[in-house]
Amino acid sequence: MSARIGSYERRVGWLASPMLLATLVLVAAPFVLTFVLAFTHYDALTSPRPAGIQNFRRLVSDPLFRLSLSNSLIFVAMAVPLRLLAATGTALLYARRRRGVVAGRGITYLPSVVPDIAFALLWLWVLNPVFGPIAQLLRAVGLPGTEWLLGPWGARVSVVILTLFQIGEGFIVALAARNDIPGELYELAELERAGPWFTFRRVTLPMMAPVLVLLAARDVAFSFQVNFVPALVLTGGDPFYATLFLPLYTYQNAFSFLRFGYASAMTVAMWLVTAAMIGVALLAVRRWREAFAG
Amino acid sequence: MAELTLHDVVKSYGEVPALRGITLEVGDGELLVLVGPSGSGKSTALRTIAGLERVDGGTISIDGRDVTRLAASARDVAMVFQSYALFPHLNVRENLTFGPRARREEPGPTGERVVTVAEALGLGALLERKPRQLSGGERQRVALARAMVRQPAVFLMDEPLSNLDAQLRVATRAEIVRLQERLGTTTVYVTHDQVEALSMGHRVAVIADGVVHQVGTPDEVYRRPANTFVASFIGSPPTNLVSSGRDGAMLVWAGGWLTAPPHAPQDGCMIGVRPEHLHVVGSRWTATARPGDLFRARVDLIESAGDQSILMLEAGGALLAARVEPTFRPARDSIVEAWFDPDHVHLFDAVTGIRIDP
Repeated sequence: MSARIGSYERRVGWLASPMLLATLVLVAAPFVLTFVLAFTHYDALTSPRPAGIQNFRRLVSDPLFRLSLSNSLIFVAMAVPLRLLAATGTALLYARRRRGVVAGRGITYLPSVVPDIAFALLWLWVLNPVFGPIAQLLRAVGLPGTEWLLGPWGARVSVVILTLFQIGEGFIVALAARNDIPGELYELAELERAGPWFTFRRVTLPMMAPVLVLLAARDVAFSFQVNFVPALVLTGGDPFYATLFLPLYTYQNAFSFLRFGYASAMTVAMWLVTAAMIGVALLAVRRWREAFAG
Repeated sequence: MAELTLHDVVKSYGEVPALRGITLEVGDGELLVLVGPSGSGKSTALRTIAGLERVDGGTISIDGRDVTRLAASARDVAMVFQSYALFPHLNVRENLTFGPRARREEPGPTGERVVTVAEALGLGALLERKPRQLSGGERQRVALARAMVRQPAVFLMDEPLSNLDAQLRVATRAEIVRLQERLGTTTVYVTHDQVEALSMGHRVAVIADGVVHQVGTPDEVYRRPANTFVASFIGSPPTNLVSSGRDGAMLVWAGGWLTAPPHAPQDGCMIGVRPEHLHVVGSRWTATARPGDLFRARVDLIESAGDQSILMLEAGGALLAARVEPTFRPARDSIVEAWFDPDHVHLFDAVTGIRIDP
């Protein structure tokens, strides 16, 4: 019996080994390396030189770092609630089997599997203030075009809008959470003459809450990184550094200015901020779990 | 307080018929039990009364008001689900006040009613608990209490006891009967357990294949089954059924023969005998029974149940159950003599299975 269990575990180990190797090489090793490089000066041409905490000192006094950090926080504050709302809303819309639901679910999920670069390039055209379809459509019906997108807030909103369409995973999780609620609870609510809003507030929302909070925590971490490709392709950090988010600024420091040590320190800072926010979110989840666990 | 009427209710799921013309009348304050095997349509019937399923035909009325096309919320019925359908994130008090709050009832009188009902069901000390902190029986009582707080025209109960262990089920059965009598609310109670049906219902409706086979008092359904299905479904062990042909003054079946009762048809029929009316020579319980036509049978099995024993007898290829005293223990495979109590033989049409009355 134990021999068979051992062989089963060995087989699982073999099956998992490519993934484990990839995780080691692509995630764990760079993660450790980043922490080491953060305490060096390194230009990828000469050997790293020890720098102590100079990189971190420089971070504190770097106005562009502070700007990109606040840009990223602004982005998270705008994108996370909207993405969560969109994922939950579509999940509720497509929860019950009806005509068109399967198509709706597909349409909601599909943008998430489009490669980020292709998706950003597509939006570059869609939002183009001169020849983009949205601008042309608006002008055709006599409304002002999309020139406002050229301003700092317009650029930020553009990036938020773009990421609003890539909610496939959150949508699937929210859909599963909604369909996990027993149908009899809704039948009971109907028999008790509860209206749709009362039912949503007293049944659906509290029963989905633990999952939604977890989704929010995950989305906070995700949103710190998700804006990298759109910012690189769509706005290039412009105008006036309005879309210079942390990942883009880190990328520029590393690969444009060859300041790998400094970029590593920046990554460590981003990691700390993300960890702190997830910590807060998980504390909230625990509170909710205690309040709502069935 | 209300009467409930179903007239020729038809319902199918796609091609599959679930209800094929159900007609029922439930009197004001009556407890009617719908009993049938799984898939018989009894739960569907209950859900059409609640308005949770739309009917394809027929009418449902509550207190003379046609509710067939009304939404569930407009029918003034309360339902107790098999799963109890308690809200896991709400405590007992919040579960009980869910309906009143949804209907924006005055909190004062509602609160008093909740306390009264909770006390009546022994839930007074549990009001602040969450469902997961309650035992199965307590959850079941919360579900009952919630329906009672509602004070509806009709109670609907869908196998509310099936998740309880045997001992608790018997106790709760009596509790529900007492509550229903005290409240006097018209109640439809669904179960697959014929013992539950006979012990609880003022009347029992036996359903199978989407058709009502018989409606009557427990006594009627037990003593005068309307057809072979009811005879074999109600009672444990079920009624012994053998088919017989006619030979002059005799009904001949595979294991023996029987003097034909006056109302027996000329061309054979099904003979039904309850286990307590299949008498075995030598058993003290049958010593005073009227003698009938004897047949020989082999003892196949003896099932003891404490206060009684069931003898499984094999005669002419048919397996027959006989109820005897527990001390009567013939050897297995021995041959005994037995007879059908001529005063308690049921006759059914050989083709339709419908009861033939004298």
